[in-house]
Amino acid sequence: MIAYIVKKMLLAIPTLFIVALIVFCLMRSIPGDPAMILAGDINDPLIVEQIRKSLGLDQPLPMQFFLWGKQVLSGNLGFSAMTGEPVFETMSKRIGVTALLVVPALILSVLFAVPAGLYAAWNQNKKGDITIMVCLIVAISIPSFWMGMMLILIFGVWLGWLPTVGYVPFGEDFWQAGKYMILPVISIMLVEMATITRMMRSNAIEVLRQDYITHARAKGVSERNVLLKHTLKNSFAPTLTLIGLMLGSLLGGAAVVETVFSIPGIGRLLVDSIYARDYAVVQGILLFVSLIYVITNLLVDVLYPFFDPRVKL
Amino acid sequence: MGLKYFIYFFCLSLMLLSASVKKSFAAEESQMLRVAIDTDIRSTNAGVNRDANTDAILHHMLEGLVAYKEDLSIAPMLAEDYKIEDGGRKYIFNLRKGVLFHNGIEMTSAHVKWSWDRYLDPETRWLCRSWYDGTTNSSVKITSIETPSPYKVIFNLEKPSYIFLHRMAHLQCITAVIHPSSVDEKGEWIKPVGTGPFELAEWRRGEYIELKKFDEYSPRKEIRNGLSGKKEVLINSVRFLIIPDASIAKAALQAGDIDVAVSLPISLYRELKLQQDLELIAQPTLYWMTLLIQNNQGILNNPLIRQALSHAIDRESLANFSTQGMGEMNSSAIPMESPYYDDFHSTWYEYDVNKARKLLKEAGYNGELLKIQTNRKQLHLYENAIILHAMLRDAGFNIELEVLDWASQLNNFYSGEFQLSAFDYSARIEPFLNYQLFDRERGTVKKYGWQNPRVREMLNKLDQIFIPEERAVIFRSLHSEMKNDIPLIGLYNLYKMFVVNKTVNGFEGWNLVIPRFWGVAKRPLKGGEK
Repeated sequence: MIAYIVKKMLLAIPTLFIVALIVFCLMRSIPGDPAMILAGDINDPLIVEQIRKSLGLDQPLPMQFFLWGKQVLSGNLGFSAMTGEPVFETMSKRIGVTALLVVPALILSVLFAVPAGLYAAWNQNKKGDITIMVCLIVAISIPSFWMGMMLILIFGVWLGWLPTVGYVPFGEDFWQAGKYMILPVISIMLVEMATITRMMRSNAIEVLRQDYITHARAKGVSERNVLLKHTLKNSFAPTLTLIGLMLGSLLGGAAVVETVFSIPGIGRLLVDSIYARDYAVVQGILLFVSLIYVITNLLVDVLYPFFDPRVKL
Repeated sequence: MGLKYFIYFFCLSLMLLSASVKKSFAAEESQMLRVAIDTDIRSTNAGVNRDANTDAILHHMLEGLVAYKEDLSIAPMLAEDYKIEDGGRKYIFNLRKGVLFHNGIEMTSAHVKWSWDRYLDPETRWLCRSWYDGTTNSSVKITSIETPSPYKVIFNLEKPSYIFLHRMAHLQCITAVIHPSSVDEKGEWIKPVGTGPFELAEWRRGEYIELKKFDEYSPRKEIRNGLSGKKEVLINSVRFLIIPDASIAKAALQAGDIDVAVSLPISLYRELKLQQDLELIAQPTLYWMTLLIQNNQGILNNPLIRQALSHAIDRESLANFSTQGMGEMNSSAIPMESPYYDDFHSTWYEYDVNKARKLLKEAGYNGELLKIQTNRKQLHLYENAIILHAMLRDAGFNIELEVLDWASQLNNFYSGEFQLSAFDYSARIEPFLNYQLFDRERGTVKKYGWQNPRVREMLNKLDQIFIPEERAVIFRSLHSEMKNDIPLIGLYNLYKMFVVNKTVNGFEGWNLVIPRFWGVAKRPLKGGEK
């Protein structure tokens, strides 16, 4: 197991290097000069040149990449062109906020989706399955921004039960923080729940058709045990891979929900930084998101043998 | 049955939670004003790292020697009064006594000099240093700043300058007097320690900026007028919440979670007007909407084509649509609110599609493709581009829209890589500052702009002329030259909308757009509080 983890971590190094190179080249290839954006409507060529120099943009591109790479290897992701703050500091504040939004949403999604998927598979093509499937199609078809807006309109504006916008850190006031998080968590949860349920259902249907399930039933094993002991465990393994991918994707890309609910998460920071051509922040975030993907996939791989004993690491 | 209980439980939980939220909101409701802004501020370092929201918030904490009034004239602010001597080479400011910084120290002439020395130091990277150091031909060189007494400051200039006071009062490059404790020993910025009616309480990046009332602020006696006059604070604090999405800001306003929204698009005007608990303040600004023409290359170099463009655009309808029927077209770089604006500045090519077609024929136009650049971030520019596209196509132009992101459009503007561009110019109060933006020599854009030696000569003269009537004559001539050369087509002045909850009193808009939260209360105002 340890050898496997070490091997995976070593493989992550070239992956991250390639990601860094691609992100660097892509950012430089899109038009828009950060120095001009910083100078804004008081554009003085001398000042623009000064800003460009201070950001290192006057250097040739390979040199810029080399200098940035050197910084990254020494644990410094650079400084934001817009705010002057260290990128790592900015990112670490924002990733915490995003994690507080995404992790509960994903946990709740799994808690609802796995039983729902299992139930739908068990009742395939019956009333319960069809009802769940229709709900899933509706949930999966609704864009998360629209879902967010509708939740704000219903619970914030019409009913006045929950705040419409804002964010309170959990460390400051736990209950207030929870109240501000309800609607954004629900809007992420509904979409993710639909995807996981569909995956769980199709895996469970496949497992329910296996010979060992028929054998278990023939042995007189109760339906409850067939479902919980044999079907759930065997059909959850592929779903786990999906959950891992979702976690990585959400940690780096909950920008839409963060924008709708005005939550200062990392996704919103990424989008704002792309518009502002804040190279250091964009590169830092994307590198970090890639690392999250590597880690979550590794975690999924490590957890896999617990659900599917045929898999050996 | 289980599902039914679950729904009951869920709704009950939400109701209980909401009750406690409302309770905590109510406790702070009368103390704090909650204002929605669309983007975070860049920094608290005035004129160094800034944008419009940054300026708007900093104007609550910082003050300069002079400030703009609502009639676009200049009034003393930290100065008690000022006089101009030596034909415009010497500006003498007598300072107000008893003005305190946020740290409780009294402001003196030494602080004024220290602040200005810091701005003019290249290490500060103040964006407007070149306006005052004589390095460019549009610059006014400050030769020395004298402090003959603790309450007197004298600025000596290399040559007479009419524009000096307007630059001092400039909205974007705030020439605030700050205390040296605003920076550390190495000169690195910490936070603004100014003399304004509010001081910085907290800035949570990406969330909000909170300002609290500066209790020891000594307001002027004159009534509130633009950024000058009395600045009496009637609330404990203002929290500027960053709400990027306009529809969410609207929802938050309707739910009562915010009190004022300062960045909602004017297109929501009619819809919001129906809301009885909201007050809408819509008014023209000094932002000038234009269609830029890259006249240095290709077919747009032909004056007949540029005239055809001018005749093809129904600016009245465009202005009417874009300002929800409240605004008028403006052909001139001089804002309609300016004292220099008169009927002459409304003269331009009339809307006449047939004439446009005739001119195209005369010019030998063969359907060469033209592109209008625009972006979706600034909705008004995008809408302008769509309407212009339809009008120009109707007149016989082979035209396409090129939708970019704002950074790309801006980049193309500075590099001159465009044919037509739906663009706007931010507020410049003194028309001279507007006109010099367009001139290729004096302006900052070297690959696009107006090249006309007569214009350059007039601009060179303008800074030496102090008599308004004489300045007005030159501004008329500049407009005539613009009409002849057509380096751009002026469309209208942008309308800005502030939406205010009716529980808020005393909030007023003005043509320089910057929202002002002094003289504003969440209760009825008493006599003399405005």
